[in-house]
Amino acid sequence: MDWRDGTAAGGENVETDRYLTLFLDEASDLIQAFGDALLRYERGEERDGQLAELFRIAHSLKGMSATMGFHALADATHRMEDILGALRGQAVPASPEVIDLLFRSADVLEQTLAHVRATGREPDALPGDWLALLTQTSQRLAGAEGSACAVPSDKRDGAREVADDVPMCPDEAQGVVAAAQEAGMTVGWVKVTIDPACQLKGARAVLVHRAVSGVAEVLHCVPAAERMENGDYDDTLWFLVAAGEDDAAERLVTAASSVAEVSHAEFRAWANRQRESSSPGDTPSSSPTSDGVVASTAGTSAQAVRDQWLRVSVDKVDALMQWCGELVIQRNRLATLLADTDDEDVRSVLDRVGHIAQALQETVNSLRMVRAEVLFRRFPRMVRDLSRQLQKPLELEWYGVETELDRTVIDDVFEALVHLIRNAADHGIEPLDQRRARGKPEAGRITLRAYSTGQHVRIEVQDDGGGIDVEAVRRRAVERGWLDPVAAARMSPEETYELLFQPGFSTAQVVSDVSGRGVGLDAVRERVMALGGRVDVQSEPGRGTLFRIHLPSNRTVLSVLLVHIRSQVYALPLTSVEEAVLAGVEDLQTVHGRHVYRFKDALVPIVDMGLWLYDAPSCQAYPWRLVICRVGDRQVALAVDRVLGQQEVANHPNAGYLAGIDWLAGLTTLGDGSVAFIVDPEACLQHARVPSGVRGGENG
Amino acid sequence: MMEGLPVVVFDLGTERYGVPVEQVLAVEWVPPITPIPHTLPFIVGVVSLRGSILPVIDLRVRFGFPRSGDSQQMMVVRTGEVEVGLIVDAVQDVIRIDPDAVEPPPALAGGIEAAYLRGVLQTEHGVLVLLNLDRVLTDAEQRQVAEVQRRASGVS
Repeated sequence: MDWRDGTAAGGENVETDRYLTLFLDEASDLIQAFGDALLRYERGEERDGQLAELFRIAHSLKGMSATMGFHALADATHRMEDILGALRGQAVPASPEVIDLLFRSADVLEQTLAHVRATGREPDALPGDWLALLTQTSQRLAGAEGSACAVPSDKRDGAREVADDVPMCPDEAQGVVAAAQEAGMTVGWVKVTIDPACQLKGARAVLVHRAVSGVAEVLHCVPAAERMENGDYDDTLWFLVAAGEDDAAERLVTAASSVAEVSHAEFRAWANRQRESSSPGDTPSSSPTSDGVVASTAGTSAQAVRDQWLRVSVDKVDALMQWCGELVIQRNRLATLLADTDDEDVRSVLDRVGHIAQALQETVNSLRMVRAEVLFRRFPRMVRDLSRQLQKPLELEWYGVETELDRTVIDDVFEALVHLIRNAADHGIEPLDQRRARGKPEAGRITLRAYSTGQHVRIEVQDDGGGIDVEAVRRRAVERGWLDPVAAARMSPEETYELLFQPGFSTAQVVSDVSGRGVGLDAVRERVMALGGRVDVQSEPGRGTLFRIHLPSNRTVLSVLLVHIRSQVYALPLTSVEEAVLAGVEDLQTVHGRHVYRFKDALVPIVDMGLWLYDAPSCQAYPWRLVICRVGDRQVALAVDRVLGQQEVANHPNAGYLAGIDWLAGLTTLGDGSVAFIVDPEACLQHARVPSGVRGGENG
Repeated sequence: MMEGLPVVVFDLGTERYGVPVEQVLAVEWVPPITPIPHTLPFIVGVVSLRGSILPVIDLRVRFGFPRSGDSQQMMVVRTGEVEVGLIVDAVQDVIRIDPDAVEPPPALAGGIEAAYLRGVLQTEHGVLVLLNLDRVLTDAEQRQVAEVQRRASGVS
């Protein structure tokens, strides 16, 4: 059924829509993986393995596209597959032009998918120059390298994709095959074609046999070894092999191809002959396992993966979250009402309900979250392109991939990071000669970092470039007529950085192709503010610049540690709390006139919360009550008056009047109806870093 | 008088003020208030009210009048997206006024700048000053934000 013609019955449309969504999701994952593998290939990491991966992906995309009736896509991916197949037979790595072409292919495929997503159909035509280039390249590669390792050509005959010419496996070998598979070995047939013009067919067969045996265990061969030796075969040899190494398929093909007069060698992963034969109407996911030059060692088939996923609208998850929040609150109320009960059963049920509510809460929360890795993975390709475009060697590294971000903000954060990374590459990192002159490593380093403070998620983009040129920024602001020179000269560096976020500001000496397109940091700030977050910047001349995005965490219920500061209840997010300790005088040291706490070989600054918030010190008689909090890779010890215990609380985010209070991350109501303040540990850490005496009177 | 614009009338110091009734969500006896450190004096704290948590502003302090310790009432008002509790001396009544009878405010009425006023009007109970609540609250918010920034940047 052609799902695009719109004549299908309603029910079927729903079905096809569902398949289309699955197709789009799976295809865009594959394209992402394709880009990743191509980057690794370009960097020279285990080239053979990457090529195999690239080939597998192109092949899967081709099969999936054909199944959906996207013939242009299927044709294009087929051409990519040809190129990759030809590369596999080459001794030399692909040229930069070919790699660029493959990168461009990933882009075109991505754009095509976007079109499909928007319109439900593929574009009428894909870029003609790109298609022509693909064909030229594959022909050139195939011509240059003969056919040492050709790829089965199934362009016109998808139905015959499964090589039904694979010999039957004799019964006596079945057991060995099963055992080898169970042991996780690579099992499959090596098909070797000898040049028909070969004069010494017997000798060649023996050499091939030997070459194959050198890599894998030969379980069976067709024709039988004796007939091979006698040259008693047409021109094809089959070896059923088992090998332990993951890259065995690769090595087998190489080994067999190394024998003179071998015109073709390929590896077919073991496929149970009982399986249904593949046909164009088959689900796309079955095709990767049904043939393929390389054994699929990945284990899980795409179908299996697909069945474990469910796509649900964000609205439903939100509703679920709200009910969970309500459940937690009501449970806490019940607990308060029954606080004085002596009935053991009531207590035990209450506890149990508490645990269930918490587990439910966490599960529902996690539904909305995705790991920062998903975000970061999109950038290596961009940095690579920037590096070439700007003629600057660049390195990208990242930390905190496990940090969870709300799914709904991912796209906006991505856009913001695109700007910041471009900015870092273009303006932040110095030109090569300058870096050399400064004695810095040639490659400019861009670091992405994500971490959570419980109430906020922070995402940082840091470069090791020249830092923000405060003078240049001031000059620009004066030129723009925003400031008079006197006012500009009086501005602190921090105030000067603020100018960067003004619409229409650009410090680039030359309007470059990369970030001189009139979208700047103002766009970044706007995007982040629309998410309820903010952006700030730190910079050090000659050392680099750090942009930090603060995003509110959308968690409605938090696990917190309740403490008393003065007589008010405060809540510290448990995600930040490392430990609550009693500190005696012997646990403390003084650094620059301030107390620090020795905690697991680190010296942790102490913030006396009572003193800071109420001018009523919490640190008086020993032992002091300290709660050690972690913020990113730093720690801070919050001194409080009393530690009360853990609880689940509903978080009311700040709005209006209270939004700007730095230490206040949110508000919550306790079981007795009183209000507790949720503390942002990061603000406390910032406070700890301000030298004493700077803040007006608070420390005096 | 059945026609006209309904207005909630309340006392603050020696004057009588009014705000449109649709901006007033509730009138309460002042519940226990939790003070918040590092806020300007007119933000007296937060209260928990029927499941939501509201910041509370002492309108006397906001306008620079002396604080009053007497029995006080809280009006829950809404401007834009924000709900706020306003502490006033006493909420009197809801009356209907004739919008055409409202005169532009003098530069200073009852010690409050004209910018925060919509106008004044003679009623049978005396002069009624109509507050521009949106303006009062937005300014308060901006001042608090500025205060936070002042503290955060370490400038004293």
